[in-house]
Amino acid sequence: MLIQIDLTNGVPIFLQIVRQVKYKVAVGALMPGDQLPSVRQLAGDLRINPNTVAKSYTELERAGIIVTKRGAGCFVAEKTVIIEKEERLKIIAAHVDRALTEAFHLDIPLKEVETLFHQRMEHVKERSGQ
Amino acid sequence: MNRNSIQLQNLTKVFRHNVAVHNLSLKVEVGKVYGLVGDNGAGKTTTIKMMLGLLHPTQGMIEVLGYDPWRDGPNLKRLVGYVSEKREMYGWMSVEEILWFNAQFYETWDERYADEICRKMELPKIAKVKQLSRGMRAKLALLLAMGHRPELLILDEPSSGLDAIVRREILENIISVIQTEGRTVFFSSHLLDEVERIADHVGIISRGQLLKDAPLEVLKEKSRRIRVVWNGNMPTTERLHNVRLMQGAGKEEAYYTDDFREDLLDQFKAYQPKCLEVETLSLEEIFVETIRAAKESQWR
Repeated sequence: MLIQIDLTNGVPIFLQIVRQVKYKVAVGALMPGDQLPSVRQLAGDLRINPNTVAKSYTELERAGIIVTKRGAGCFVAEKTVIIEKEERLKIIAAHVDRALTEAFHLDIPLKEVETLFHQRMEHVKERSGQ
Repeated sequence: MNRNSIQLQNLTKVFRHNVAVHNLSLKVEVGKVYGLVGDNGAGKTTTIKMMLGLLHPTQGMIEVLGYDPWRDGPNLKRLVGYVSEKREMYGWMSVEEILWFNAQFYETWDERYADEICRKMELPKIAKVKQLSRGMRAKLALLLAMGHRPELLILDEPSSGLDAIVRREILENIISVIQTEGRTVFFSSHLLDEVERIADHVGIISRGQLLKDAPLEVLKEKSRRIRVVWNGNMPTTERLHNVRLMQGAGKEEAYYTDDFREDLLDQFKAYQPKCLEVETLSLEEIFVETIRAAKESQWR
């Protein structure tokens, strides 16, 4: 499992791990039943405090993304379908928010953004031949 | 059982007329990693030397693993591993000899463990210490501090002046120590990304004073940069509370706060700004702002 730690963006390390694991589950890079590296191993690989890794695993477990099996390790939960959809929508929502913020800064009215959005949708549909 | 490995209370050290450490108090819980960060001459090394009984405090109380370092030095040294900033070692000895020599001082020296680290770090056993590169010397110093499996590891700038590869190895070894339950690490550094990686708790020191002392998470949770683009009317800085101007260029300004709450934004919103954004900060930015704020308040 590849995780990238970015120390420049100010996001706490434990949260970076949580987000990336969620993302991986959402896009199918991690499948239900897949085993996650042990706390010890991931801490060593990323060169970070093991307490931090443990904390992100606890958070992921609380969110129902992973399950801990005693003595065996951490696994991606079998029932992540609902969360999966939610997560995917959240990722898109973040992108939409960014576009809206940008539009606001460029003084483009929301009505025009909406029109543009539909235009782009048509464009994408045409291109993908639907 | 004592829950704190280290406890410093109102610690002060004065050299002639120079106050190196001023009224410093902190606690390090058993099993935690404490990172002390500060600019050069901030008092990091002086603090560490007092914790080891190498310097006598002018005032204040110190307890390390239940001992008073100044009185119970020998008892304490058996339980502590220490890498000094200068990493002094006998240059005429070979690596093998210095390992053997060091082992004689510790009943708990674990030869197999030391051998394993030695191999992992690729230290040449027959080479003389003085012939070793700076990186190799740093690795050897760490090995000498770890070999007796100390309860507490104290490191003064463990990776300053080293290249990225060696820093990485040193960090990996420190992490392997943390992995063993109950081991406490106290280290000083000015490499903030390193501190952000491994510290549970961070202290920021400047001119002998501890300006911040909090779990890393809390520090990051509460520190924010507020970016604002004013819309014509903008307040004078004095009218905004609990924030400090970081940068300003005309209508665009950035404020810093170390105690963020949502309602802090109300005072900005009152002026109906064009844009208002809240951003998280890296430890490096928090460090710089903390030091800057302290210097400014001294001028006032």
